[in-house]
Amino acid sequence: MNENIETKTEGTLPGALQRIVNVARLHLVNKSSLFKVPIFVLGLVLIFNLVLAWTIIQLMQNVDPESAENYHYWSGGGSGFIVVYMLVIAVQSISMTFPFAQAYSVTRRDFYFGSILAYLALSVFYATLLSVLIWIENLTNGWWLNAQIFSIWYLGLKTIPEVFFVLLMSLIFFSFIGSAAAVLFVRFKAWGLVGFFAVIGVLALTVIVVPILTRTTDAVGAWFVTTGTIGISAWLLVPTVIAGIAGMLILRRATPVS
Amino acid sequence: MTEVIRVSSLTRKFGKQAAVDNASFTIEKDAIHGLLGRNGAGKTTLMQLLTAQDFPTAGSIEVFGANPVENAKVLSQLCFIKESQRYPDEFKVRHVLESAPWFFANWSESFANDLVEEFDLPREKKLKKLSRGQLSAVGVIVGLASRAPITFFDEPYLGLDAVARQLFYDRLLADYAENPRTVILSTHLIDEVSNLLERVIVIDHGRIVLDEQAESIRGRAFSVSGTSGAVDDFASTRKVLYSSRLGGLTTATVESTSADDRKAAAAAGLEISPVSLQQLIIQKTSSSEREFEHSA
Amino acid sequence: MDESRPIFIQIAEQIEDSIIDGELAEEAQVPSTNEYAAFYRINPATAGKGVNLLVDEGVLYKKRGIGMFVAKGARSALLEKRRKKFLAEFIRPLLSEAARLDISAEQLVDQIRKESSK
Repeated sequence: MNENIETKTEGTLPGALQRIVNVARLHLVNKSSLFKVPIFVLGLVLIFNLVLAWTIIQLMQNVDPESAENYHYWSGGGSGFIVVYMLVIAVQSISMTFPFAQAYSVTRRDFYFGSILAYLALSVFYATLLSVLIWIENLTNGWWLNAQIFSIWYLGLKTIPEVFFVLLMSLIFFSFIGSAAAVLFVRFKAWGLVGFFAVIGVLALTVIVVPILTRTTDAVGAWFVTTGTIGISAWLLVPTVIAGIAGMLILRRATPVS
Repeated sequence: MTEVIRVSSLTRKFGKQAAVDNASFTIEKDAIHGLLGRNGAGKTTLMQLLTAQDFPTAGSIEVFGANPVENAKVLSQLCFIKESQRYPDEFKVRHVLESAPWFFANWSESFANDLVEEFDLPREKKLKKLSRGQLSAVGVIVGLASRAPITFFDEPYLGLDAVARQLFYDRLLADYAENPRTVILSTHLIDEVSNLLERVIVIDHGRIVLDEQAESIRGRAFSVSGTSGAVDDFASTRKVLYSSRLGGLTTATVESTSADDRKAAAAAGLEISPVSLQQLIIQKTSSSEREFEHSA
Repeated sequence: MDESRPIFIQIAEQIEDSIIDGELAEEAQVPSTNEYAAFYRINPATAGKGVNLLVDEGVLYKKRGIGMFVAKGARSALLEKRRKKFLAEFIRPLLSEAARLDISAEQLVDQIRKESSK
């Protein structure tokens, strides 16, 4: 490698910022996978679950009207789906848009920051959307059927702002993990993904095995309990930032392979 | 001539194979350059290196006096849409036209619109549903309408018919005349473009085998044919690029600009015919291939 | 365009032909370099080189900001030049080929007379 000519970084903020915003806009052109598909699925989830809840209630009323009155339909799928789907969005849109951004002569750095900006915006959008849905769910007493479809109160949260915070942190976490996976794929193709899952596997194993080996399972469990959902969501920022920095470093030498 | 790109001892290896092999050359400001060579000669790799889409194994590249890698100031002056360019799945033709001006400061919307009409492109169609020729037209339109200070066209006309290719050449010439800029056109259809070019760079097996003004190449070689004895006599004291023999007859391409050589050939009773840029390059590259095989 | 010779020389010759044939009168404006480039489908720099060749020879002259014009006396100068060229490129080879074929100068003149009265 010829390293004697060091990369000149261009500092003028408005120009650089504009380029980053433009890259984010490039991602957001993909409206169907970024908005239409997930919102459509959310709609389906809502309708399907409501029909299911209503049907169960009808059936129960025939048998035991009193318990039907107290029946509490419960599904956590609605919010979880979007959170995991953020990972898919990040993988897909980075690997698709990178070769195109290269044709538009965008630096890798601007491309990466622009992508991250797009995912932050998406995360805020979906955290808001889900919070509003959960708020409505609360207000209507479970869509008038006592059904929980989007709510995540089971995580021990008390207010809508808490819900918003946990959702936002999770969405950002998954989109950054997705970005790191996508960047590995862009740079190393299939082997990159193999490596990605290997690293994730090792990390997961470490989290499980180390407490067992060191006989600190109880302490770790206690830590999770005392830290709580809010605290754990905040702690997610650490792996998020690590994934973000790793992604940036990996992309720096990626090429749009023909 | 001012140079906008300077390449020194540039090498790019994939494993042991050198796609670009110790190449050194410059690109002149506001001239149309032909980057010519066979398929697989290293044209695309070279352009990917110049646009910092790929990284050199050795050597250096300066674009506007700086290393282009991660250099937004330099890269924003370049436009390079590859022949095999990939677009995001959901992009329609319209999206390309709408997003291009975000990245190319000199983008001309009216020029782009004219070209869309002339190439008869459906704006609302997704790029992945376009025919090969239509996809090439998208690349051609972005390349032309971006009016980037340095524009790279890599075999820009795959799937385009002769009429559409002529349209591309005509629009390129006309717009270049109005808005002079540096153009690097890579192609193996040399005859079609030879008159458009000011500079010619020929690459073969990753090496630069010819780098000259197009006008000085024209007429630098001619071909003689006649009885083998007469041709051999004539050719023995001159530089022969290529020769072939059939029965007692020989045809030889002789590198020479001198009118005296032509007169001597005529006096020797040989048939003289001109050599086109394409023929010259084919013969240059096939002779370097022989050298290559010898040294390998 | 003829492949064997530089294009700018051929462009210059085409302009000369137009002047000799009277299509471009003296003091008339000559098409721009870009128009020649578009018409012949050649690089504008090449067309410019051809035009400049004629400027150097005094056949064309430049009016700043307006364009190129045919110089006064260009046609007669070109005729003079072409006649010299005619001698070198046609008459002399004709005579040497005639000598090889044992055709005398008188016979040649006779043949030319016959051909031109056809």
